[in-house]
Amino acid sequence: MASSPTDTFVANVTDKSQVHIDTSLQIELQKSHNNANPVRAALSKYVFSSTSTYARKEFKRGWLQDLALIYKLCDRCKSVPELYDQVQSATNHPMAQRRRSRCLDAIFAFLSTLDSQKTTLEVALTRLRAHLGEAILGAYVKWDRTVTHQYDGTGCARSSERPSRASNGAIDVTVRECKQNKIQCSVHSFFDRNRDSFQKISDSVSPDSSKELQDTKRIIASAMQNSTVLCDSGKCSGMSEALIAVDGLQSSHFAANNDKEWVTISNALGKPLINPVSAHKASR
Amino acid sequence: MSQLLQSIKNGTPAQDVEVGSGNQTSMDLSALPNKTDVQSKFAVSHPATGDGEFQRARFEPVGRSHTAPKSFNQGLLEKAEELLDNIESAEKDVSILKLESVRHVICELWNTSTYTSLQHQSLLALIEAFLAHIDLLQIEQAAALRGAFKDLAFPRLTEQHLDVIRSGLIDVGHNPLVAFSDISE
Repeated sequence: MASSPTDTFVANVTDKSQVHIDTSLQIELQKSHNNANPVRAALSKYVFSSTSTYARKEFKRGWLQDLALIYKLCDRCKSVPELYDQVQSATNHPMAQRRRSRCLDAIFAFLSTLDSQKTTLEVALTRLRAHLGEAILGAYVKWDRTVTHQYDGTGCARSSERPSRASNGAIDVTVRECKQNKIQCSVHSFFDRNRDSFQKISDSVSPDSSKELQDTKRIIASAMQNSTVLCDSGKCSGMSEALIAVDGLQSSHFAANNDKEWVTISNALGKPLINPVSAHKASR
Repeated sequence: MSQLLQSIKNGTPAQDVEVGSGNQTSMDLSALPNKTDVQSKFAVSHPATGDGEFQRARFEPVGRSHTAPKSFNQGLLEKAEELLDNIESAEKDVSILKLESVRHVICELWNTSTYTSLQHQSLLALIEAFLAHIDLLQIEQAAALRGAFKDLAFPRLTEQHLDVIRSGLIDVGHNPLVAFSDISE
């Protein structure tokens, strides 16, 4: 029977417990104290915390690329209002509406911290760009320090490409495409070694499950025939939660802030799931 | 600035923005597009091909060093170092006041940052971001901060140099992404 994350949050945490953390919670750990502290408090009960290197790639794609877009656009502008226009036009594709919101929110969050009496819009832009650069370049370092260990079962080549700054000031956060005919990782052999676990995840996906889980089931079925299909970045990204979970099978607990997929995956693999974010909200 | 922030957050049209104290005190932002309007406009009219803004930038290898054609105001840097001297052993109230003064010095340093190198600006941002969420400095934090301010006075900074300082500040609690974390899910 499926148990809710809140139920399992308080259950069976011992000194020897280990927790494997998903991208969603790792992102929470990078946020302000209000967001991060409940997560830190919950995870501090575990003597060993881990994540997957694959999760780092998702983190780069999900957050750092947005910040890098703003950073890049800052170069073309002389002041913040101009940047505002640039962000609007760079994200005017209907498919980029969420990205636009995230970018504008990030700019707003930063500008709100400045003293408007002492800062011109030109200097504000310089500060914003410098802070963006530092945030992007420091993100991987911080990520690495939030866990005891990072499993690297998939050997994801893209996750190890750290953000870096070129001599012209450009910051590279590209997540390059991978193709099946040029294998650069070990996700296929990782899949073959853990076929049973992936089959369990596939079996637990019901018609009511989320679209992401339906995609995962379809990709697992395809990989059962030929695991090298996963060496295409379009395929492995479609089952990222399953890859991250199986990479942390040695841990006694899973931790995520994405119940839609993780409740099903945790149950399939027989691991208690904790969600400190929802537990914290429920306790308020 | 406040009107601009409102415009970014809520999509309300901004008018004149008053900031700073020099000739750049106001800027007419009446033409600033309304966030909601632009979203709805492009949702129906923009072609699915996009406009090429996401094209990959050409990437070049990191240079070994960078010179600062003009450094930060030395007097301000010395003032900051003076404020940070033994700050960890000061009374709590004094320490809080000193930290606030350091923040003001940093704010002033930004106004002299126009001709400094990207690496100097990065280091100043790193220091500022580190201080933004600290009320009282621990011994190791104060030491790391003093080191960072000393480095800020160097005429040359490299990316490798920045890596070391960044790593040191993260070791003592710096969280690089905090300033940008209040975003939509």
